[in-house]
Amino acid sequence: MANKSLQHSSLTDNIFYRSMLAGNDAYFPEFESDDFLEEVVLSSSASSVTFSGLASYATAGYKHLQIRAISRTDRGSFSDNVSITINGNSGANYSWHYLFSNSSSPISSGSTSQNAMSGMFTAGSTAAANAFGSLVADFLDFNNSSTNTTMRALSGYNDPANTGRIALGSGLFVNTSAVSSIAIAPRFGTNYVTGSRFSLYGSKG
Amino acid sequence: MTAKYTVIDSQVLATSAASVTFSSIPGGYKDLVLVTDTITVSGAAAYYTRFNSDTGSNYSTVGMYGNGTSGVSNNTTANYFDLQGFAIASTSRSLVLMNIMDYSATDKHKTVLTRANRPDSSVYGGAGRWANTNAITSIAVSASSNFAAGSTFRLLGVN
Repeated sequence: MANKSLQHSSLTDNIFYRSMLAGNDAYFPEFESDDFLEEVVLSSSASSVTFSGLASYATAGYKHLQIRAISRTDRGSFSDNVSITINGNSGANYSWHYLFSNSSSPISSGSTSQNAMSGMFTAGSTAAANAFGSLVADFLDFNNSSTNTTMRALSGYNDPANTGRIALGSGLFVNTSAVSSIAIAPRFGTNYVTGSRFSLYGSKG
Repeated sequence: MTAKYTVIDSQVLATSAASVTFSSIPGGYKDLVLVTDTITVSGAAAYYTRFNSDTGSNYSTVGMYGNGTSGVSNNTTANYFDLQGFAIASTSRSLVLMNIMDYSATDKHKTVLTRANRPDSSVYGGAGRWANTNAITSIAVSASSNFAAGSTFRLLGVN
């Protein structure tokens, strides 16, 4: 974010500003080179959603990927977890950790040698009607073939009768292969319900 | 390729203000991202967000924050989204980033994911639900103490 001008400054406005940022554009959260790549909106229930052929995005110059999802599963509970696997690998090659809350004290937990990344939440079938969970997950340097793949996520949903969940999480795929596909599935439920949406974005920044 | 973000509106306060409203928000985006970088005129203040001028008790949030000493969690239902103990202040700028998912869908309650950071004090994360299936057409941001000049507010459409 470059300093732009004295559009609003103590010198020009004769007002005492408390911040050196006065006169700058409002903060922009991401790289301006971020693009929408593709998405899946479920017109019928589905057990998983997979984004494949990701190497083509690396060829196009994208360095990082982001998945933005709004979803609900058929698990017979108000809550479900999200599982993410990479390159079709279902071996015990994943670790994840999270800080989460369900209205009692924040809890920190995690697991290693798992078959998928988890530690992300969404709504289950007994959550309030029309309530969905949200997920924003970043896959950094996804085409790097000399480092393991890391992911960070913010996820959660709210259902006052059952308090809801909020989680700040991270995941690790202990494999140095470039990421060519990402699959998302309910961890406990069988299917994502109709109307769930999964959007993929790329960043060249 | 389609750019991920479109700036719908951006406001930088030239003078202090009690609230900022984004109105006539167009449809056509997948999500919205509200980004504010604020400081108060005086003292600590609660930070509120409200959709479509709905003053009913339809905003539920579960959140957690840390202040360098301990972690705190809350679950509230109120007539606005707040940051549940996380306070913006005059001593340090506070960055709040709210993802508002599927904002124009009429078959879903609206889910928000919020992160807030105040460098001199605390960090916050929360998930909220507005129990309403109407498309969001306006967003009002307010605080219990006026936002000072230089505070910035930006609404982005996610394509």
